[in-house]
Amino acid sequence: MRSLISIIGKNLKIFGRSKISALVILLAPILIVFMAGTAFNSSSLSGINVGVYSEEYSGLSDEIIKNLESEAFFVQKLETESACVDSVKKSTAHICIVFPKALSTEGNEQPATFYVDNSRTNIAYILVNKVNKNIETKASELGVVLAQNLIDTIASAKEDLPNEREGLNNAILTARVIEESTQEIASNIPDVNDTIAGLNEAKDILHSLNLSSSAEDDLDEKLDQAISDLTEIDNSKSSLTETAQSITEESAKARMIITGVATNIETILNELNSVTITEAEKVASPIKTTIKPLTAEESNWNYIFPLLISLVVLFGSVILSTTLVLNEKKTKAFFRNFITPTRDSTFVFGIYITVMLILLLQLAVLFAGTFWLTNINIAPVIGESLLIVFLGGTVFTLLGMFIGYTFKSEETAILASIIAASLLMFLSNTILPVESITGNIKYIAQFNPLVLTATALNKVILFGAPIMEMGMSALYLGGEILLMVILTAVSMKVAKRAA
Amino acid sequence: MDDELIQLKEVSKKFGKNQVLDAINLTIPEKEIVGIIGASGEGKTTILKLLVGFYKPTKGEVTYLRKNINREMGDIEKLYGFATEDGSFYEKLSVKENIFHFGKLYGLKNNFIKERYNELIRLVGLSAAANTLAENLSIGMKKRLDIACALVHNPQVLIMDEPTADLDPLLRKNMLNLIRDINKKGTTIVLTTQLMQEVDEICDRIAILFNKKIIEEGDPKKIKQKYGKSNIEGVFTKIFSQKRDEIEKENESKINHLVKRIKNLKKDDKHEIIKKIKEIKDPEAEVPKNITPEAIEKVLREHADEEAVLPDDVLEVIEGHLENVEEESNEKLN
Repeated sequence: MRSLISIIGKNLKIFGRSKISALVILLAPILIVFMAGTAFNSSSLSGINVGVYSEEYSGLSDEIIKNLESEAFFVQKLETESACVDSVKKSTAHICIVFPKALSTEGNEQPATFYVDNSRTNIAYILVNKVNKNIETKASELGVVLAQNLIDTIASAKEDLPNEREGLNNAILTARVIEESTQEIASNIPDVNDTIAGLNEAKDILHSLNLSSSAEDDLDEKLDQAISDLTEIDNSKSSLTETAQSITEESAKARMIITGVATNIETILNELNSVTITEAEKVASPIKTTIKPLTAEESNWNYIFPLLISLVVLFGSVILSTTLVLNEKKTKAFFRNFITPTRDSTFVFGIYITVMLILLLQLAVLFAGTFWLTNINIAPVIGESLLIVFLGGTVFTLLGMFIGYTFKSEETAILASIIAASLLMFLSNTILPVESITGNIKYIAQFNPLVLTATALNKVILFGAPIMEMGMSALYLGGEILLMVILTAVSMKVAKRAA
Repeated sequence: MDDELIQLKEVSKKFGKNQVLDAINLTIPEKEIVGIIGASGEGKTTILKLLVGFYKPTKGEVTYLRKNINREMGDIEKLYGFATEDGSFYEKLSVKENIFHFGKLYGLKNNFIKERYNELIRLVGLSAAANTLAENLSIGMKKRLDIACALVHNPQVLIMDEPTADLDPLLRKNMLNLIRDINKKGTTIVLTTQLMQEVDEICDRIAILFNKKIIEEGDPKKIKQKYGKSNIEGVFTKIFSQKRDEIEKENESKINHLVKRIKNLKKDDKHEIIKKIKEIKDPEAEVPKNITPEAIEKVLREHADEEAVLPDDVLEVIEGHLENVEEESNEKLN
């Protein structure tokens, strides 16, 4: 124990006396906090240059451009489509939008096209979403106007159609009355056939009476006239009856048609009445979406803070432990250390504790700086956070020590430690989500200690998850610690043998 | 020898293919100052590192009071103190911090270290520089700090690798006095040096290392008598000269033997072997059809160094060709 404390004390003294390295190690987190805190203490994009081109600008496309400008996008109209695309290639614009010729609400044959530099993976999707959202908002506004017109027309129809239906019902009733009246007229015309027969009988009787010929002729003539008139009346009655029958039939037909129209109007009215949407916004975008953050904070700094801690722990631990091991290997005192009875494991443990103490100091600076700059208080979850940092930091420290013992040259070892740390960074969520990695690498990346540490810190710091939920992460990190202990011990033995 | 403390018995040490020590024997009696002398690169430091168990012998054994230090002793570290040629301490720690730190690495208690520190700081004359960082000390002071660090646990044996190297005459004299003082306190001292005068001045016993072997070992007075010299430097020069002559003779005889073997070859074989040897230096070399024994000897000597040693590539060509020819002639005989 005496020797361990002495080794740690010696390491810290030497670290402190290398003023520049100590300053770099301690100031680096402050610098990171200051730079990152200032840079990411908002949730918006700024300074985005947008190149636009259209064969013929319309009021609508100009309005969209105005909207973009009002959101602090710098919009530059370019002469040709290729100039617009080139502006992205030359990085003078972040995104190029090509609007269809005379963009209008009446429907466009060509879509609006975005050109974006996909190699800038971290910003490409954000830009497209941001600009697309802007255009979609405008499209949605136009949709609302069109939908409102539609709704107004429907409302007007709903209002007018019942009156029309009433008129039709009256017409049906009138037609029915006409039919009945016509039939009544036809039925009320008296039958004159019997009268004609009676007059013919009367005529026969007259002839049998042997009246004076003049009187007989006169009466016969009058009877013939009456028979003739009655015959004519009878003929007219037949014609009238036929006409009445025809009127009745046509009226019935018209009534049927009117009834059909009335029924259709009724159906349309019912359907119109079943349309309950009266707001144009609901027609234009019937499904409303909203993104609710799981945390109250809105600044990007909050979201990157857990990852930032993990990265400070990663680079701090790996590089510091590699450097300490190399210093110990290259020191003149290496031989004397070797011939003392102090066990090798004590030296290794001494370096480990030293790194962890310096790391703790770095984190204290980082947390204090964060609190001062961004008001994020980590105090409520300090225990959980430190436990995760301890596990992650142990893996990284042992990795750095393994590299330090494995490589002979200082330059190679530092390079190897930076490569190792960078590899862990690339196979994490730092640049692209782990989910975007393909194949077996994705599987391996899930066990990346940086991913495990950052995810666990995320849960604890952002969502206040209890430490028990970190069980699996802690288990994996524990396994990795065990593996690294073995590798470090082996590499140390090999290095000692080679010394 | 009854007072023997440490013994190296037939110890050989190889690093890969490089043989550094070849079956050496050395006895270090208790409480004496033993000097190992030899030219640079002869393996003196290797012997010291074998003594403390830093290296394990490839062959042979190192014993401490007749116990094998690699197999039978668990804590030999406490028996030895080692002062290296370049110093083995932390440059960024002060004199006091270095002594205390190494004291703790030896598992010593604070009070003991304090007593030892006060004693050592006076012994090595660094009282005024106690709080000075090691990196700011002069070369002589660094050497003394290293000795203090080596003695902090009060070892029975102090091993010193080139203790006077890089020191000016005055500092060298001070260092020799310091070594005597340490020895007077009962500490056995084993040191290496290239400076023969020092050995004459302080060593009770010497070992002369030459060509991977210890060629002389014992009381310096007796050794001087044996070689009829008044100082060890003279002895060393004489031995070195004799040994070099022996080696040269040996190499000469090797060349003569090869000349004989080549001379006896058929005309075409002779031509081929000489052509191949010449091509090592000059790929376009022309060789006459008739080769005389003098021409063979001339070619071999052209390729040999000052000590008549033929390089490996030439030997490979000759041996390879001779073996082939001999095999062929054996097959014909059969």
